Amino acid sequence: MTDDTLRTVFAPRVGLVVEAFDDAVLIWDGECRRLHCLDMWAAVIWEELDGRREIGQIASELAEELGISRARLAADISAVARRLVREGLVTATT
Amino acid sequence: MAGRKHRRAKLRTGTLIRAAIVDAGPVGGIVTERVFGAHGYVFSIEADDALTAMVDQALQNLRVSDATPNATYRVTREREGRPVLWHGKERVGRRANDDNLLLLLQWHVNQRVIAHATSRRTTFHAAAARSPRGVGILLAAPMEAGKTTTVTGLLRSGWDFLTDEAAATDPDGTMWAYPKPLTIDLGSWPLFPDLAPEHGVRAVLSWLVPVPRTGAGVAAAAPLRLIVFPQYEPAASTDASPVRPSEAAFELSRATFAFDENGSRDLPVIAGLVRSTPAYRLRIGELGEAVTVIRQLEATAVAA
Repeated sequence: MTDDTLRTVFAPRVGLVVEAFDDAVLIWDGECRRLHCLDMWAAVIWEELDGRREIGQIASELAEELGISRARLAADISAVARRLVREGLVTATT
Repeated sequence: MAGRKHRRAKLRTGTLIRAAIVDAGPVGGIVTERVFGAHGYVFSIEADDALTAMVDQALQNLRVSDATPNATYRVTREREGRPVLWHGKERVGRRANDDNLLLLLQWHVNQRVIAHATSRRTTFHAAAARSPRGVGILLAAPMEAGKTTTVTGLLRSGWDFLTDEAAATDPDGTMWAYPKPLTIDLGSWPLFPDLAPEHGVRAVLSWLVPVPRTGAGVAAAAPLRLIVFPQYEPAASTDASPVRPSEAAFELSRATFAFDENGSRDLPVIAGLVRSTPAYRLRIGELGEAVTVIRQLEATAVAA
């Protein structure tokens, strides 16, 4: 995990329709006409990607809350966030 | 007056009458114009006597009053008598006999009604019915899953019919009827031998059965209280299992007509519906058992 990755900020793309459930989040991308279903873990991360906090900060906060190692969380968050970027659901800035 | 003269002239010829004109009682009786429609798609049909009678019977639950047709169908005959269906000036197609022409007409009407319905409301590819206690059930599934067969079983148990094709639904859960005739496919014919066409079967793969022939009534609307995803599996044991709201939302999205066009409107509606309505997956091995299971689920919904 590089410092650049930890400093990356991810934000949801504007214009998505989001419906959150206890165990999943459904996202309608009207531009691409695609419906996405995020499982519980991806949904937790999605909700943390607020366009303000860096991956490192999110990992620290979740590590404390969930009792999981920060390094492991940072890797997981980064992997999910990159996947969400590929799907066009979030944008990244460093 | 011109329209009246035109209609009278057509009646006099005896060769071409509007399906929407019959009820001419004894001499000097009242001529009533019958028009059909659903969800804002209103149409009349011009055909010869034989087809007019068939249309009149098949589409009896789609009759509307006080509405002006926004479309006209016309059936002409080729020299050998094969019927050709026209929608305005567009030739829809030719069929070998009147039964198949009726299926073609129903198919075309379906497309138009669904297009009108989806422009106004979230519309599911589903069957729907209302229990004697007023519980509305939505049976959402792709083709060949058993929607029409299951809803016909419910009609035989005293439920009222809403649709076997398209359930237009408001955000508050009100489902609106589209009471087309039941389309009972070949595979289900042995279950309902008494619903066979009265004039016999002539090389068709589906029966169009007007709902009154099942003995059931038609409800104009019903509140959605139960969502079921049926799946017919030959020789399987019939059972129901709960579906999580997120999964139900995903499944319903896939069963929504024109979701690609209206996803921004429809996803919030669907999410609201599944948060307040229990959903089940129903594996159907035998129709009678499926009806029993649905009645149990309905009782649970009432108790809740």
